[in-house]
Amino acid sequence: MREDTVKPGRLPAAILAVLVHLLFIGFLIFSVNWRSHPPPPVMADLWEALPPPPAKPVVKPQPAPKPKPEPVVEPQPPQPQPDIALKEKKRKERLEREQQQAQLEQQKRAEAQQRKQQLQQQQKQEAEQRKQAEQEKQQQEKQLAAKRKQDELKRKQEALLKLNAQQARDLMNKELASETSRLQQAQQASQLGAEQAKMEATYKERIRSKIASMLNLPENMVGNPKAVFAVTVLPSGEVGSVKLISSSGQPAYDTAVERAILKAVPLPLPPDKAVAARFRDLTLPIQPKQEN
Amino acid sequence: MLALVGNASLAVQFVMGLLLVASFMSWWYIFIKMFAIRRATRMAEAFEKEFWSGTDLQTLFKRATQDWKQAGELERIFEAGFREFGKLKGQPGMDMSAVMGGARRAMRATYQREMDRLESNLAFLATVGSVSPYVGLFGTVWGIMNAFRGLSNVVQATLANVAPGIAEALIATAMGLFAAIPAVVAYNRYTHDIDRLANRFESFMEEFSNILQRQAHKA
Repeated sequence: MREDTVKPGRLPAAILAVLVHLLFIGFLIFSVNWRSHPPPPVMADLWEALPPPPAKPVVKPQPAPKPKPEPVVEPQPPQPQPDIALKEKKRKERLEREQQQAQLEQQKRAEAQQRKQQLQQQQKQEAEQRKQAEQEKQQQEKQLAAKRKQDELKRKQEALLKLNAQQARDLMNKELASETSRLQQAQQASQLGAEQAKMEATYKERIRSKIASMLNLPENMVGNPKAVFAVTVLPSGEVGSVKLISSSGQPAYDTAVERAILKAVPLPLPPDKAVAARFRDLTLPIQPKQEN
Repeated sequence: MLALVGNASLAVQFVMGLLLVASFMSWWYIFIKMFAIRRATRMAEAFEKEFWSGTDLQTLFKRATQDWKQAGELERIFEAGFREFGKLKGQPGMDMSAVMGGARRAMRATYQREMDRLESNLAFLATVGSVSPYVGLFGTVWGIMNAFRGLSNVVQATLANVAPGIAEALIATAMGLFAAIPAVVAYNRYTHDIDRLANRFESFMEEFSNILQRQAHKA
């Protein structure tokens, strides 16, 4: 039969299909971009917006963080002084110990000499008695033998003394080495500690300012009440629990602060994990107007 | 969005490509079928109108044979039936029922052929509609597998480590659904439309054989 038929609109159909896909992809790209672009500005707003809202408090906090680091910086120069003092003390101690040990050695030597003399005297006396009792030859032989024994004893004693002295010196050296290493570690720790303390202070200030920015003060607030809260902070910056340690005396203000703390989640935490670990349990004194 | 596609793993990209092709093909067929069915109904309506308005069967037949290529499905069925009827009727000693049977068979054959032509490629739409969600899902599962495998190297697992991978992977599912939904809708719509057309053709065939029978008796 006749198979030749009209094939309707293959090309228009293809064009339309392409059009549909372009439309869909265009819509996707547009919508995805439309969604993914706004978040970053929002993030930036969150960070930058924090200082401006509490415009009045911020003027005070800004100077506040500066003085805080300074006391932290100041301890650094003084810290070496105690270190030096410690060093001097330790040196003195070392010297004293050395002197003591030297004296001990001298005493030991003196005692050894005395013993030797006593021994010699005894032996001499014995020898004289024997001389008297026995013949001169025998006496001479005995004297010789005695002398040899004395020499041996002397040698042994001297060796023992030397050994003791060496051991003492070794011990001294070891103690010295350990002390110096301890000192160095302490210095490093103090430097690290200073940096960490600085970071801790700045982040505490950030947390406090964030909470302050979230703070919705009650209308009937009087004066500048201070509420102290114990906050357990999770590593993600979320707040685990909030406990009122000391009330400001105004329950409305206490609850407002508690709400502000919960609203300020996630709290800004330092990137250094060692420092962040110190923020596990925070005690936060919150005042509407900071007086630092 | 383009970055998401570009960063996806090779398997996921392959799945996406497959789905894009499937989607394009299904849309192409959707439009082709749309034009074809629309044209078929339009032509059928026009021919039925003309047929029942009392036009002479001979002139209708003549026109149908002349522009056979442009003729609609119903016109072709009519043409095939009338041609067979004329041929058989011209032969001497032909039984009445044999003439009618021949004409009916000729119409049925044309009807079958035309229906087959109309229904062609609908199976593809059905396949795309039922399979492409699974293909997309496969791409997504694969992408998420990769995302979590990458997570095993990280000490502290955060959402930021997994989210891009999952977003990449989910695009595959989105594409699968994008291909499947129109295909399923179009398939259901077109099978319904073609069923209606088939009913129309069949009822026309019955009516036309009645007319032919009357004419045969008349002669």
